[in-house]
Parts: sequence; structure tokens; C-alpha cells
Amino acid sequence: MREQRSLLILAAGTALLLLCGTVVGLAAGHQSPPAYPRNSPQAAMATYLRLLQNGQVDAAFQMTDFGGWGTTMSLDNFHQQYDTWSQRAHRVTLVQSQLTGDTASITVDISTFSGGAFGASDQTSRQTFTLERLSKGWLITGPEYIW
Amino acid sequence: MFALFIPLVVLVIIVVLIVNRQALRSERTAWQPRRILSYTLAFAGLMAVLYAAAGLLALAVTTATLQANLLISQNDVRSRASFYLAALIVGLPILLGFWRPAQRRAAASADERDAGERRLFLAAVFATAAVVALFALQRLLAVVFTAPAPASLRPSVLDGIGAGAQVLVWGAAWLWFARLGWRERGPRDKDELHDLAVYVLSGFALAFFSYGLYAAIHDLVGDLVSAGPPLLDATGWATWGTTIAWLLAGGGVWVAIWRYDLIRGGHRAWRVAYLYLVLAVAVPTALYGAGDGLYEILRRLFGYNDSWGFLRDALSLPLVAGAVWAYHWQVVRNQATTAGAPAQDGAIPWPRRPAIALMTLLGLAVAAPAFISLVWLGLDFALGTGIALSGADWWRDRVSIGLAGGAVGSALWLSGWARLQWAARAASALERTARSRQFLLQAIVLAGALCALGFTIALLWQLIQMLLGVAPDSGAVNTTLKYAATALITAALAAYHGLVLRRDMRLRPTAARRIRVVALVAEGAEAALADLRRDGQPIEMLGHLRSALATGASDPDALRAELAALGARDDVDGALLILGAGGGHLYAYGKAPGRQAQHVDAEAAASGPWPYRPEGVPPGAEEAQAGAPQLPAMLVPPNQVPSR
Repeated sequence: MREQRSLLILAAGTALLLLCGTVVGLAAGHQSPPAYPRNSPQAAMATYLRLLQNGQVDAAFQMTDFGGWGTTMSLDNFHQQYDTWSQRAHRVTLVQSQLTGDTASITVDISTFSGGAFGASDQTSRQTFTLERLSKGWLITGPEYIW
Repeated sequence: MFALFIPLVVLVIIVVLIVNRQALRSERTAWQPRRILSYTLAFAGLMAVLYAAAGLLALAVTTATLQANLLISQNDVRSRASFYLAALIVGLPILLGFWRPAQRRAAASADERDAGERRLFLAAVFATAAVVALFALQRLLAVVFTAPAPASLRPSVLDGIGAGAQVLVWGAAWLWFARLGWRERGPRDKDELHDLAVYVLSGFALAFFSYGLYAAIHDLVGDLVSAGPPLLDATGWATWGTTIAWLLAGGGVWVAIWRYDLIRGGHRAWRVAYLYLVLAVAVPTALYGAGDGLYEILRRLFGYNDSWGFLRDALSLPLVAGAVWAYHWQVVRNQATTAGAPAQDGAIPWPRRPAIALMTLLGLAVAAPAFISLVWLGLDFALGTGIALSGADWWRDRVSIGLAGGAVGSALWLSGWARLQWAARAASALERTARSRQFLLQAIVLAGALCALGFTIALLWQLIQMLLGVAPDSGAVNTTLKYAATALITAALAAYHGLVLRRDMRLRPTAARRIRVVALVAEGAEAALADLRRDGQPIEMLGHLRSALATGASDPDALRAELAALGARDDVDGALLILGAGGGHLYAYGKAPGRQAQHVDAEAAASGPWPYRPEGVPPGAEEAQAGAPQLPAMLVPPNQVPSR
């Protein structure tokens, strides 16, 4: 009797955990993106990352201006760098943002997740983006490469 | 050259596995260096002859049928023919020189026929020739079935001729030596080396068949998903022809050899090892395939947009591996009817318990990280750590893999654990003390406790840092949640299984106290001493008895019972055994004085020799008895003490 009860508890706990996971998956999958004020550097950053994640590399390139870094990133190079970005899921968490006149810096944690059935990997790195307000709005000026 | 590689590998595997086996030591005849040399060289010669014969046959057929083909140059023919002739010139004399004398010896002597070296030779030829012929059969069928494909996509006819020649030559050799082996020892007889050869061939054939099945489902689903070209157009034959060849060659040989094994039946240790090996490959593969497929399905249900091309892998791998698993599991169940069935109702029949325990462990090893991941994601989502700039992709994939691993792993874990628990309830004493169950529980408790310990320290480190004023950023909070989830799940698993383990330990029989037993052994009683030692009681030999054994000795069974009962007596510290060929006397003694008589069972004392001096018998009274051994007075059996 004791064995049956403990098995039932285990099975119920497992089912509950999986159910909660499903709820979290559904809820997280349908959560609305964070709302930032229009024309804010955070909103520009979020749009830029979303375009990359959706595979819209050309549109993301339009939001950059890497000229100030000495090495001009061409569209071809940008494609080479970011065409595979959408193949892996990324979680970008805002750590810090700083606004100074027409320039801003935004520090984020980028978690990269890739799944196999039992070989999932999740790596996190911290990056600081610089932005500049130009006539087209906030543009990403660096870095050219994201690790 | 590949044909020579397989025999070499098979031979090495067989030799390594077999060389120290009990089965060989138990053969009637000991291994002899001359036989080892004879059969090893005969095997090498045979391999060279078969290789050369197949090559020459292929060359002859090629020259006769494709003479006009420009691809066959005269130089190539000369080069090949020279090589095969060289192999034949060297191999044939060696084969005849060593095999024919061995045959003569076998015809004259049963010892030779039963020799381990000969059984190993026949088994190695059985496995090697059959496996080489199997590879060749697959290539031959591939050439046949890809014939409708465009010339650029199908294998060369030369491949087909070469493969056909190998099938003929190696197949004929297999048949000839198999019949020879069966004449000397029938298929149903005990021959572990032949068993091993059968399972080597069965394993190769099953791998061929499984691969063919996998490729067939993979291609079929791929065609259906992509709505591509018709299945069997001219180009399609290039793919499907090869797949059909894997299926037919592997399936045909596997069905034949497996049916042969099932018909001959019997209790065969190598069959169990083979079944465990198949399960060790099939179960993780099925689990991996099912988990991967479920992950891909879930992430699509959560909003990921991509083609359904993943179904090719998601269906083919788990279906094939699952089918292999299910069938062989059924065969494992049937092994209990051959021998070794447990005496107790409700217990898990031999040899399934270790397999169930291993599968339970595997399932938990998959499920536990998934549970940790889900708990962490749940906490992270509930607390909303950090402000995410990105969308839901990361969440979708992370949760999907957690759910997939959790569902697949827990299905295996809970089903296996439920089986173990039900058996423990029905046959408590047998199941709870079973070694595989103990191993499973101890492994889980140990791994869980160590993980919980380490991650609890890490969790406290993070928390104390925060309490001491280190401002936590989103990364730190996230890490803390990971540590908390890991510590929670591993501690829960360790606690649950620890409680079960503790309950099981209570049912363990208390170990009998080990008593020191010393023996004086009469001439010719060494075998009797060895028999008594086999029961597990160490018996230290003091020396050889020079006096005659006293009459009224206990028979070996009674001695065995008396030895077994010693550990249960708390007044006994040791025993002296006086052993003859047909029995002996056992005298228990204690280090503390004055307790020897009062604990003795009266009936047993009256029935025969007993290791104590009864009350009322004066010391030294037995010395008057003629023919008695020179023993201390207190050691004389009571029924030999003269009355006063």
C-alpha cells in the first residue's frame, strides 16, 4: 500500500511539473514584448534584436551605422555574421542603460540556447552596445560582432 | 581487403572474450600450445584461401562476361590474379598442413573434438564466414536493386560480380564448417563458443536490418513531407535499391539465425549478454529519438514556424529502435522459462531485474535535468528576473526541451520503478535484498545527495552575498534560481530514494557471526574439506591427522548443518573440525569458561558426536577407550564416554 501511494505521489508530482511547464511555455510564448518609449535607445535595441531573431537581416542592417569604428561593415559581411543568428534561440536581458546626450550605451546579457534531445546547451555572455541618435533615429554603432 | 579485416576483428574479439572463460576451463581437455598453434594457423590459412578463391572467381567471371569492357585492362587482371594466386600458394599448404592432421586427430579422439581450441576455431569460422558473406550479400542485392537507376547513380557491375563471388565462396565455407560443427556437437548441445558466434552474426544482421528499416522510414516520411518526386522513379531506385538491399540481406539472415537460436532454446548465458547489448543500444536510441521528436513538436506547438521535415528523424529513429527494444524485451521475458525462474510468486523473473533497474536509472537520468530546468524556468518566469529585450523564442525552446526530456524520461523512470515497487510488495524479502535494486537505490541516493550538497552550498553563497550587500543583477538572480532548482530536485530525489533504501535495509537478514574453524584432516579427506569450504565457511587447516578417526562421525550433510549453525550461537568463539573422508567431528569451543553444556540441544547431543563434555563425565575417562583419537577429554563425543 505504501509503495502504491508513493508511486502515485511521484506520478502526480511529475504530471504537475510537466503541466506547469506547459503553462509556462504557453504563457511565455504569448507574452507581449516589453514596451519602451518610442524613440528610446532601449526600443531601438529591442527592435534590432527582434529583427535578427526573425531572420530579417537586411532590415536589422538598416538600423546600424558602424562607420565610426574604422572598419565599415558591409551588408555582405553583416549577412555572413548574422544569417545564422535566427537558427538559435536567444534571450537578451537588459542589465544597464546609460543615456548621454545623443549617445547611449546598453549592457545586456545574451543567453544562447541550442537544443538536441538531451544535449541542450545554454551559454550566457555580457555585451555592451553603443547607440547614436541620428536623423533616422537611434542607430547601433557597435559592436559589429556579438559573441 | 575489407574481407580480411572482418575475420581479424572477429577473431580478436572472440579470443579476448573467451580466453579466460570458465567454459573453456571446464572443457574436458586442457588447452595445449600445439593445438593453439594448429588451429590458429589453420584459421589464418583458411582465411587466405577463401579470400583468394573469391577474388579469382570474381576475376574469372569478370573476364568472361565483360571482356569487351575497356575498363578491365590486362594489367589489372594480371595484377589481381598474381595477388590472389600468391595468397592461395601460401594459404593452401598452411590450411592443409594444419587442418588435415587436426581432422585425423578429431576422428580418432573425443578429446580432440571437445578441445576448446577446436570449438573456438569452428566458432570463429562460423562467425567470420557468415559476416563476410552477409556484407557481400548486401552489396550484391544493392547492385541488383539499383539496376533501374541511371548509370551514374548505381554501383558498378564489377561490384556485383565481386560480391556474388564472395557470397558463394564464403557462404559455402560457412555451410561446410557449420555442418562439421553440428556433427560433432548438435545445435542444442552446450557449446558457448558456438553460441557466441551465433550472436555475433545475429548482431550484425540485426544492425543491417535496423539500418534498412530506418532508411526506409526516413526516406518514406521525407518524400511524404516534402511532397517530392514519386517514390520509385529511375533516380529513386538508386536510394531505394540500396535500402531494400539492407532490408533483405539483414532481415533474411537475422530471421534465419534468430529462428535457429530460438528453436534450439536452452539456457544460454551469451544469449542474455547479447539481449542486454541490444537493449543497451536500442533503449537510449529510442529515448533519444522520442525526446528529440517531442521537442520539435512542442516548440512548433509553442509557435515556432518551420517545416515538418524533422519528422523524418523524429519518426524513423524512435520507431525502429522502439520496435527492436519491444521485441528483444519480450525475448528477455521468455528467458525466465528456460531456467532460473524465481521460486517466489510476484518476483521479477530472471534475467529482467538488472535490466529494469538500469532502465529506471536511465529514465531518471534524463528526467531529473528536465525537472530542474522546468522548476528553474517556472521560478524565473514567476519572478520575472531581468527585463528581456528579446522575444519568446528562448523561452519556447527552453521549455520545450524541458517538457520533452521530462515526459520521455519520467515515462521510462516511473514505469520501471513501478515494476520494481510492485515486485517488492509481492516478494518483499527477495526483491528488497536484490543486488540490482540495492545498486539502483544507492546510486540515486549518492548522486542526488552529492549534487544537493554542492548546489546548496552554491545557493547559500549567492544568498549570503546578497544579504551582505552585494547588489544582485539579473544574471546573479538567474544563477541563484538555477542553484535553487537543482538543490531542490536532487535533494527530493535523494530523500525519497533514501527512505526506500532505509526500509529495504531493515529487511536484510543480519549477517551470521563468522566463527573461526580449524581442521585436522585425515588422509584422503581433502576433497571433503574442499566441499565444506564451498559453502562459504572458511576452514583453516591445522594439519594432517596421524591417529585414526573416532567412530560415530557425523556425515558430511550433518557436518555442514553443524557448521552453518555455529554462527547463531553466542557462546561459541570457534570450532575444531576432525575430518575424515566420509565425515567427521565438530567441536565448538568458547573462550569463556563454564558455559559449554548448558546451551546444547539435548536431542542433538544424544544423537551423535557433540563438541562438549557432558556433565558427570570425568576428565580423561575416554582415554581408556581403545582406538579413540588422542583428544582432550572434553572433546570426546558423549556417546563414546564409558559409564563409570
